[in-house]
Amino acid sequence: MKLTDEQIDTLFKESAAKQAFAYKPEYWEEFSASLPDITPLSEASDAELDAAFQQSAAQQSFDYKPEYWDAFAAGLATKTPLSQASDADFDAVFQERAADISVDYKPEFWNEFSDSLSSIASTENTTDIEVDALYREEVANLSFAYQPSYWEEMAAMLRRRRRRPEFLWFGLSGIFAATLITMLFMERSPLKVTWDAPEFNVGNMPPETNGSRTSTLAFNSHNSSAEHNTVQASVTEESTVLHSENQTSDRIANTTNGNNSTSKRSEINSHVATNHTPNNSHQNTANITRTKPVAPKLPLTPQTLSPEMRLTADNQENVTEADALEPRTLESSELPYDNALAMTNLRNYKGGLRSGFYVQGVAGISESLLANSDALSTSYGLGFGWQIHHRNWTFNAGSNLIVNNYSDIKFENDAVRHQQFGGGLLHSKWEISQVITAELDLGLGYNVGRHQFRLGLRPSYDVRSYYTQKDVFNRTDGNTEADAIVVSTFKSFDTELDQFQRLGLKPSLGYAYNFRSGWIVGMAVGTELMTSISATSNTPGFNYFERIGENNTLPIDGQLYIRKTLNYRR
Amino acid sequence: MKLTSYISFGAIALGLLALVGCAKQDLIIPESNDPIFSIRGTLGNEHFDLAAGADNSYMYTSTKLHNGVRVFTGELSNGHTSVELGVFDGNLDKPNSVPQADLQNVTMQLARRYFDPLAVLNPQSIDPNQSTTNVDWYINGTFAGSGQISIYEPGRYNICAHVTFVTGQTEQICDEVILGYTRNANCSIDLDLSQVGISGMFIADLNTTGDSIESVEWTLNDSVISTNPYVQHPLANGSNHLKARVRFQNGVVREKTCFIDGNAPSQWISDFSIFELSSTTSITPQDYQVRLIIQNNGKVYESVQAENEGSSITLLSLEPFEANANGNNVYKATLQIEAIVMEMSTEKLIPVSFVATMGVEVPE
Repeated sequence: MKLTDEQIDTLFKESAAKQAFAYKPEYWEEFSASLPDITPLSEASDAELDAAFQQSAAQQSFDYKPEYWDAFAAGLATKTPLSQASDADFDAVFQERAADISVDYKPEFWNEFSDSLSSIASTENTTDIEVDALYREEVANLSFAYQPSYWEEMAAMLRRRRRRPEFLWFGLSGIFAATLITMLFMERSPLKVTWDAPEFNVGNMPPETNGSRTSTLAFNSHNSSAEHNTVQASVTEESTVLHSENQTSDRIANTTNGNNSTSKRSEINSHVATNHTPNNSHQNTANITRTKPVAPKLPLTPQTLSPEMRLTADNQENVTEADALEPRTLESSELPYDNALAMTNLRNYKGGLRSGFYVQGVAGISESLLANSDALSTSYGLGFGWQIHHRNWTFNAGSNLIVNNYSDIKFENDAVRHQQFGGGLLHSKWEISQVITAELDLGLGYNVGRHQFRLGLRPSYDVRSYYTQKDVFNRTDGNTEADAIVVSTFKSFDTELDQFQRLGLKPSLGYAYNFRSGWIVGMAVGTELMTSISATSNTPGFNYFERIGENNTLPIDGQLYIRKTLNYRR
Repeated sequence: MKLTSYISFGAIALGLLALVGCAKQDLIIPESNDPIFSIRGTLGNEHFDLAAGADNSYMYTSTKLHNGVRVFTGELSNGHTSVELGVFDGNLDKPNSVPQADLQNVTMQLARRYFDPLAVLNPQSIDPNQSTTNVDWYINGTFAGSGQISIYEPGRYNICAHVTFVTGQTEQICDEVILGYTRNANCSIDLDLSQVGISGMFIADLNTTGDSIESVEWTLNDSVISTNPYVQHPLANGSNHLKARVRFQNGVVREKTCFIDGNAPSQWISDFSIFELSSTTSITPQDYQVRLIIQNNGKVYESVQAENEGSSITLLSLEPFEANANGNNVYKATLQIEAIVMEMSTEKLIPVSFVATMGVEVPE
């Protein structure tokens, strides 16, 4: 069926009206540059326009595979031959699959995005191209399933949000999500614009081969608030190729740069009008609504893709009205795609909930945790564990192995050693240098942006004590033997009372800052509760209590830690 | 994800268990051991407690001589307080006596102080012809007096008499005298000078008490002249020192010496056995008796100076210990003493009571 200009215009306007692309002069310039020859656009043939359009469309970032279509076709309810499937069937299947998609927005998304803009002074000064590039980069890492309700949540977050910088992230996320939704649910019309009389000469269009020609281009991002550009285009029999690019950022930029968009449009208008003056008397100037399709880089499945998003170099087919309105048959062999993997990714993505295994190094200073002491003790150690994020909360559970260093924890013992006709006083002194502590690291934190305020609890157990023992024996007759210095390592006290193998509990308050790439630096200040030192030992004359003293009461314990989270994401 | 979680937490648990379950070592805390030598008791109203090795106390062991008699001594002292326990030797006339063996068979007593002389040394006892005009007495090399002197303390004395004859000649005659100790056998020289004017020879034999004589060795001026109990020998001109060394069958060995003036045979000095034979026999021999000398706070307390007739010493054990720094054997004696000591500066008698484990040197 040959469409009239009015029908084409109407069709185009309807489709374009549903798009949210902001037209930019660069679009036309890019398109013009893609033409094979430096041919005035008014003189470009339909075939050239098609070729240019297809070439540009071929540069889209959709990873389309044949299985997309197969899977989509299999989802058709009535198993209708594809060529006979109605739009409603396609829509139904597409919507059904899209309903499985869910997106969890987390403030950290914006935080991460804004952090990536570190080289950019402010979003106000960010150029369109910069934001485009950044967005493409970030979007390329997305793999979430979107649900319409999430947009409402995100909108609510936008209202609660007070921070200035979130707009860019929220805006990008929201628009992206909205674009995705729209893409999923919008009916994509084959956007093969054939400019017919008076602009198009259908007869000059490349012939169409049934079942092989792909002559449509899908708009996969729509925004009802997008502005439409009206371009005065004077085109003859050439096809106007509209690029399908990832141009959401451009559109956003245009939206944010509303003051400039008008001028750009004016430029476009004048540019087109200047460079594409129809040279055919029977050509008419058609008012077309041109929008730029937005195609985020998603692991697309047949369910998310419009069956029209396919390209072919075969442009020898005639385009009929039916072709323009009906989807084309795909060459499945041209589209490799792992549908199962894509489906798995979409189903299993939980949005912002991430569990992470972490390793950390700790160091600290504290008052003596053993006995009264004038000197502070230092500690260092390593730990590992697991942390779970849920909304703004973070819970971690792990274990640390801490080496506590002491400088003035000592106790002495005097023993009279009678030997031969005399004896002497054996003076022994033990200096505790280190105590190895194994502790559980439990924490509950509340995240405010990158800041985290934490409550910590660390049950601990002193498992090893390192000490130096020095004995000096003073003989009764006044002669002093050589000092007997015994340096003992890897020795732990292990009396019946397990003097230094004690349980402790360290509650603490802490603060941490979450850097990019999973690094966390935090600090915790607390105290320690420890089981009491036993008062006596079974060794006559030796009393731990008298020599060591009581437990230091509620000593202050400070700890710094650097944690690297190894995010786990499937 | 679950598997990794399980592995992680399992590793945590295993690590903690490993640390907790690692082999532990006991802290070796040196302990005070029991004293080896100690003495604990009272001196009057003061308590004293000494233990060798504590408070700079040390057990000194040695063999002292008191009046020529060995005193097996142990002194536990910390420098300002000391308790000396001495055991007098016994069987002095038996060279081969074994004190540690004898001590096992004796009832230990505190040595006593005698107010009556054990012997009176006078010239008439050794100069029957009254040919001397003066006798100076030296006891153990120390001038003790002239004329007549008394000896009050038991001992083994080497008494020398520096005799001045009427002719002006002087001689020194020395002889061993055991007073206050057991004499298991004794003898004296019986000298006959009746034949000197005729044949110029003297005759001598021995008067003995106790066991039979086993052997005799006569020497005249340090030359052996006979080994018979009876000797007849020409008298030499000038001084003639005649010595008889007698060994008894019970192991006693005694030496007796007399002097004969060859130029004037009427001038002769007998051996000093008279002093032993005439000494007090009612005393208890001081063989293996004990003496205490306590020093405390600068004061000296001696048991010998006090009347300890009612005192008691109970020897609870006596066992060899080890050699001391001098290489002499030391015996560890555990005993209990109730005695009286005299504070020497005031001559005040003070009771002392203690239980002691003392070391006493008892040489072979």
